[in-house]
Amino acid sequence: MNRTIKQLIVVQMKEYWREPEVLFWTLGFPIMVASVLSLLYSFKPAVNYKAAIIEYHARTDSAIAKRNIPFTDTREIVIPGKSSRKISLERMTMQNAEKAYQSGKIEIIIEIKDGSTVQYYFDPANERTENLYLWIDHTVHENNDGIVSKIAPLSQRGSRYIDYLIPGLIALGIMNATLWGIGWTLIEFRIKKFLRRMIVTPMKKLDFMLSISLTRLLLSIIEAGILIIFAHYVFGVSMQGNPLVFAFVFLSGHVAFSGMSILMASRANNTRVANGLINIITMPMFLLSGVFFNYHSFPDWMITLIQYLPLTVLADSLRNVFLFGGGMANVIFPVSYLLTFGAVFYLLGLKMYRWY
Amino acid sequence: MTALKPEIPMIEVCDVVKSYKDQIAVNKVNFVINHGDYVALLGPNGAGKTTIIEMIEGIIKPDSGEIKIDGLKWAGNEKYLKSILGVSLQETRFMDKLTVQETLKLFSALYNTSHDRVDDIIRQTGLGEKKNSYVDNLSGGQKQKLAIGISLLNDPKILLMDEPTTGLDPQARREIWDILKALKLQGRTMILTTHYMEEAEYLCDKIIMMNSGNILAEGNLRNLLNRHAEGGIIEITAETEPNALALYDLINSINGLCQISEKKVYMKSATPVPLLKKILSLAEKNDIPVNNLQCRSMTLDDLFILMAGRHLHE
Ligand SMILES: Nc1ncnc2c1ncn2[C@@H]1O[C@H](COP(=O)(O)OP(=O)(O)O)[C@@H](O)[C@H]1O
Ligand SMILES: [Mg+2]
Repeated sequence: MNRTIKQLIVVQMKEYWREPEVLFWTLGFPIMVASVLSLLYSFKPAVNYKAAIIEYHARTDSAIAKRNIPFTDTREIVIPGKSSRKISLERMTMQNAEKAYQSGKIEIIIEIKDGSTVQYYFDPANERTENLYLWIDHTVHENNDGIVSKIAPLSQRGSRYIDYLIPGLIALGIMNATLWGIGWTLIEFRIKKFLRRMIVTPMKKLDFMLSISLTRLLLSIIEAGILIIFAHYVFGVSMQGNPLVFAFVFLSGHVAFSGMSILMASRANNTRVANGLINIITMPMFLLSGVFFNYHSFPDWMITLIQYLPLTVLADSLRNVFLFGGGMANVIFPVSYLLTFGAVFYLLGLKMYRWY
Repeated sequence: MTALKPEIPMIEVCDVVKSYKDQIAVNKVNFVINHGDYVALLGPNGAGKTTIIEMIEGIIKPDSGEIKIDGLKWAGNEKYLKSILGVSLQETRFMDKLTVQETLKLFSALYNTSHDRVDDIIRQTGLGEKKNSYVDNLSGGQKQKLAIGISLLNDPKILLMDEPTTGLDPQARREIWDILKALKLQGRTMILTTHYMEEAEYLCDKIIMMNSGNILAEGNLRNLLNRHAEGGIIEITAETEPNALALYDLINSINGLCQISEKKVYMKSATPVPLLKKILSLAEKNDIPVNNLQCRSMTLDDLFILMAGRHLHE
């Protein structure tokens, strides 16, 4: 790396570490958000259970009919003695049940294999579902002799809110680090005439832009690293997919938002404009892109638009790799989209860029 | 005479025009600066000093006209020209949370000069005690010294200093003058912009007076004053502004070169004493009270008022 880029990165890092408030807001804030939201979530009275009953054939049907198993059809069952707790049962195919399970819509799958075997699919590591299983199984055995219970452990990935939240926060961190970090820095340098002073040196403009972008990449990595470690040790959230694929998606997000930041900062020469521009860009994505809550509850026509927002693409792809173990093949399109998006904005930004 | 080839001027500014949306900032300006000269662009705010100096620096481009530095135009010679120019911009701020030394180190990397240069510069600008202070905590004078220090990193042949002492207290201004004066002994060329006539007089061999994008006069201090006013300046202060106006009309009828500014009327005269007598008797005859009367030798500010109708700093 050449001397110019190295020095430019060093000074930006120094300036960053020497601003305690900035340090707090960028490093501490995501952790705070994660903690508060997950706390709020855990207070939510999640009293009702959801379970899936697998569709079965008429042949087993008749065998079951002789038995007294209460868990055979779509219905709600009140748990005796705990009148506020219910189990909602829903009949579906095994395929649908697995999907519903992985996305956290149901907590246990009950499959009645024939007249005498009941198989349960759930995550034994999860205390709540463990209890659910024990209660269901107890009820089944209470009314029937000679029924065999089998457990098929099925780990449930990314079903908790905190699981959903962490990749979203990482995506949000990338957006904020670039738009505030790169965009604001560029505008501030212009206002202070620092940019003007630098371009009368033989510094290459590309080196300058690279150094700014690399500095923020470095900081984003530190920020995301801290969040991931924190989430791992405090909430037991861990990455399912290949970390290299995750890094690749991360990088493409950084490129997309760097391009956007440079374009955004190409003209503005006062802080009010800068502030307004950054908010106009980040606010809608902050609210719509599903960082905090799933955007699928919006109307369909909006979802179509939302899916093209770079933050949505980034958050969804990070989530895909982080929670569901998605591989390169699953993210290659979104990553290409983000990279193209970044390159186009970057070139436009450089073309329009006012250096003085 | 042993001159074999004509010496190339360090800076040539030829018919340069630059306008912004609603006004002409620099209007067909011409001047030449020779090797080793210290030249002041002297003029009030908005005269066009910064615009000219930033065109020389290559930051902005003239609408028309030509600028040559060391015989070269900017196009195609950026690398060389950047290496011989030492630039201190008007009101540049550096990164707040970097120290003096770190800031110099950064620019030393941008200019790709040796690391020893940083220590030299710290010594030269007298910032030794402050080298580990954040830029944020420097006084105005120290910040300006840092800016000058940065401009020296690449050991430039030409210094371009845009208002290096504006807003500083007299002590700090003195210190900066000393630094700049010491640099002259090293054979550098300098353009300095200012609206302090003392600064131009103290530091520069040649003074270019500017107003509203035009050059009003240029030359060294002596011949500027001699050319434009032998004799002296008469300054009369009237009791009220209407009185001053009446006085101005009276004097204008007998002496054309006369200016008014609030309650004061100025004129230059080659023969101040008889003129004074005449004015006093005229004032008495017309019943115009005079509060104060001065007869003194001319300054650059007087000259500026006579030519532009305004003070150098308002
Ligand atoms: N970027 C700009 N846009 C519009 N007008 C400008 C700009 N820069 C300078 N001017 C105008 O050009 C004139 C000359 O400005 P400047 O060169 O800064 O004067 P000085 O340095 O002598 O104070 C001023 O009237 C100023 O308002
Ligand atoms: Mg100026």
